[in-house]
Amino acid sequence: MQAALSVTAPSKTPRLRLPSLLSLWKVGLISVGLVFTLPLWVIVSYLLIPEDDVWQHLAETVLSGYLSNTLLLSLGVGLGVLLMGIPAAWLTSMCDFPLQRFFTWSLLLPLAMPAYIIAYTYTGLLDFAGPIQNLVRDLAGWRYGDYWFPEIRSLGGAIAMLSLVLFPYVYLLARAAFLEQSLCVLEVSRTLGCNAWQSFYRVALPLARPAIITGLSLALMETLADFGTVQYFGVDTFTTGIFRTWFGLGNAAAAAQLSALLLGFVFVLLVLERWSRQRARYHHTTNKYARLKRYQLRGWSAGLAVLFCSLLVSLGFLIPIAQLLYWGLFSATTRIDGAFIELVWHSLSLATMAALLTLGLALLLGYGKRIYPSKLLQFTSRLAGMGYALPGTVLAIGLLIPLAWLDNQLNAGLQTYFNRSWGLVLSGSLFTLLCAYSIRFLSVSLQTVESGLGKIKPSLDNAGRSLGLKAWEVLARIHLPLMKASLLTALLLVFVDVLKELPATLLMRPFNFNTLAVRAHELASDERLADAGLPALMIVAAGIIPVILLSRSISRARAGDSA
Amino acid sequence: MSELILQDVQVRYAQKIIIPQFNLNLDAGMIGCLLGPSGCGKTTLLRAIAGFEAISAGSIHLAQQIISSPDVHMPTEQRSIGMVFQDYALFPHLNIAANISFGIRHLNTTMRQKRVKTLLALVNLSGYEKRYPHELSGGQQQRIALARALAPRPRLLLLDEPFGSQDVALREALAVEVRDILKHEGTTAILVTHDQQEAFAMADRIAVIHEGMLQQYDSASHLYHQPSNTWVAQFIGQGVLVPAQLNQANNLQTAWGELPLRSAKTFTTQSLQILIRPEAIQLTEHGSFQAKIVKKTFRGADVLYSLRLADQSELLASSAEAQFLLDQEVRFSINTEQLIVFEKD
Repeated sequence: MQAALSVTAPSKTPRLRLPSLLSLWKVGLISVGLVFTLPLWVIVSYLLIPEDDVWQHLAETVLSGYLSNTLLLSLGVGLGVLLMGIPAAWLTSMCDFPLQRFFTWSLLLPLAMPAYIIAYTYTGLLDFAGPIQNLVRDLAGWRYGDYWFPEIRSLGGAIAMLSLVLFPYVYLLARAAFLEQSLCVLEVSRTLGCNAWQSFYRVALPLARPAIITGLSLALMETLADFGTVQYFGVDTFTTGIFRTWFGLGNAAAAAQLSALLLGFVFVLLVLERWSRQRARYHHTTNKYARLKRYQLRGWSAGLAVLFCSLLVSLGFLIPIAQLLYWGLFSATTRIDGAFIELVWHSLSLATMAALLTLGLALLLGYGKRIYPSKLLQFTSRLAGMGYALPGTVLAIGLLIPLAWLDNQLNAGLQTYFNRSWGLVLSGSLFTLLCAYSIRFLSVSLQTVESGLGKIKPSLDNAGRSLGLKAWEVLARIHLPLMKASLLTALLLVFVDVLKELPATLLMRPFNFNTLAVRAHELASDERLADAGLPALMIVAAGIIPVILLSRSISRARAGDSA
Repeated sequence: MSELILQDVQVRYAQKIIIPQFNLNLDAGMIGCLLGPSGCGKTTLLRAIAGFEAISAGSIHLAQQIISSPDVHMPTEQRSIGMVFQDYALFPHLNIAANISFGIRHLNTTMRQKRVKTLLALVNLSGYEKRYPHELSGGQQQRIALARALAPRPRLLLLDEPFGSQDVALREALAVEVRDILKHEGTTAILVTHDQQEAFAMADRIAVIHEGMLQQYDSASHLYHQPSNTWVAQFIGQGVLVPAQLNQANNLQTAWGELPLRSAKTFTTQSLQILIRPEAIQLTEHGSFQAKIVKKTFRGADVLYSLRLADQSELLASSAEAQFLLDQEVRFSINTEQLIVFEKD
């Protein structure tokens, strides 16, 4: 108790008469922090355990392939998302052309499409038996081997698929940065002799660079975490390697060491992201916004702009969704039956539970930080908020290793003393899967909760207290009504993320427990693409919800824009 | 011939006419000012001169070259017009030296460095080359913005409310400082402001604008002492407009007394208005008019009194003496040399 009180900031802490509850809170927070970073510690610790033969074997056989594929993939996707995202952001924020408003939000739609699903659809469209090649053969009268057609199931294909669904990260952040720039700095560059193009690359682009790098690093984190696409396309990267080492070879140590290597890449991106976010503060130009005067595009330049944006929207969303609809409605051999309903039920209940659990944790951390602004809590919540950077495969390995060990210890103990077995209660249960989800997606709901809380000024708390409310009444009567929208958003975002999640679910699900994502993956892997259409369609449909939320919030927050 | 000529300039947004018809000349090396309340169209004019807005009628000439008309619109970057913005708009990603040399990339490195050095010395910030904008105070940022705009030696410099973000106390001193810099560089400049003290401190000629129309284009002292109409009279300085009739004796008959007409102007009507500035009134026992003090504002160098007259109308009087009290009955006289008389409009 003494310790708990000594940390409190005397001026800001509301008088709570239950210090024991508070210290309980603190203990809870610290254990959340520990549990949430457990996978990280486990993986990193494997770097310290020398397993020379495993390492040697990996290095001699597959490692160079993993390394080069992962690097090439990242490089390609990085380039792809920049080339798609930046022009799209510039066009929709600074120029006027037909359908510009429509593109502003529809360019976000590819975010709803998980990369592995877009990979299935393009495979269906572009492989040998697909409609495109059929058409080419019919028109030209060619047969197999007569012509060259790009192979979609390749590294290049994976780069294209990932770029098409990940460019909205760059688009979103670059667009926000362009809009935030004071028009004055662009105008001043014109008075200093720059034409429109020069003022873009000498002023607007450098100013938006931190935001663009943030978007790029988010897209690359997703690329590194991707399992479904590269696995389906047969491109060996770290994630598929980890998966194979774990399942195929059953070699936990090697899987962990590969994970550690992958984490090294992620770490670089994480540092890059943090660094660029910090720099963005210095690149903020002004709080005064002039009326935005967009460049009027006419003639061929307007045509090019429309073509560019509609290509992105069609390739990243419309064409795949049309293919999914076609599969789901017309050519699937399986119909909606009991098994399918069970699948949906599994997915929905799992996603709901994960969303609620994550929201609870986010509230715990968010309020902890607000009431108790100590360094320790800042650190805990920051650590806990980094789960998004952990690839699902790495996360699963990092959790499964210690839990399996715990299961074994427990089983051994039970066997010895009670002659009973406990089974794989920890490592093979839904509970573990839920833990994994909340570790990976806590940052999503933590950010939402914190931004919601940030909007509630401390003076409101004080006003409530001065009007005679108790601390929990302040919560119930002031915060809750004000936070309702943020809480709902946090729930929704995690819900959808869980629905889409593939590798962690694949690795950690209880035996024979299927979700929509897992089923779509299984069907596609069995070359039953058309049957994968229905579950995939449901995942994408759910994925559209947060995109709508996002597009509403960006169209609202447009500083200096004329209506 | 004038360096800058605005001839019958009209600006409209969609169907709304902001500036109906505007004429203005400015000679080389002079500092002009567009002065008016917010929303009067002064910033629109400035943006039209800079080339950020198109004009729908008339023409703008700079150095004998047409830069704007309904048919011609020279892009901003080709006009060689510098601009200083209210929020300075320094490039946050560039250091001070790079900010200043942004517009002089065509010069070689030595020349560029020399120019940066000269300008930094001119704005009294030598040695700040490597700093970044966010490390500078507001006043320093503003001087850098000025140096950056001057670097390419623009044919014309535009200053858009350049002191708007500064403390009121600092504005006048800054205005004088900027004027000295501009005069030293021999720059032709136009300042936009709503603050007359700023305009007086900085400009050679001031264009007073109201609702998009030029009211008067004159020096500061002419604006104050010879306002061309009652709107300018009330906008510039302080004072009260008093209705009066021209009587048989050619005197001005007000509701509270008679004043001799000293104006050489001839009037077409008997109904006139007199502008009485606070300094035209002397509070003295020998004065021929009587009033009661209803308000007293200490202003430092003098005290501003509001006087209520017999007919309940009020006048403003300034006096170095502070001994008069509220509700005190006083006598005053009027220096009729300083009266400005208008026809009633």
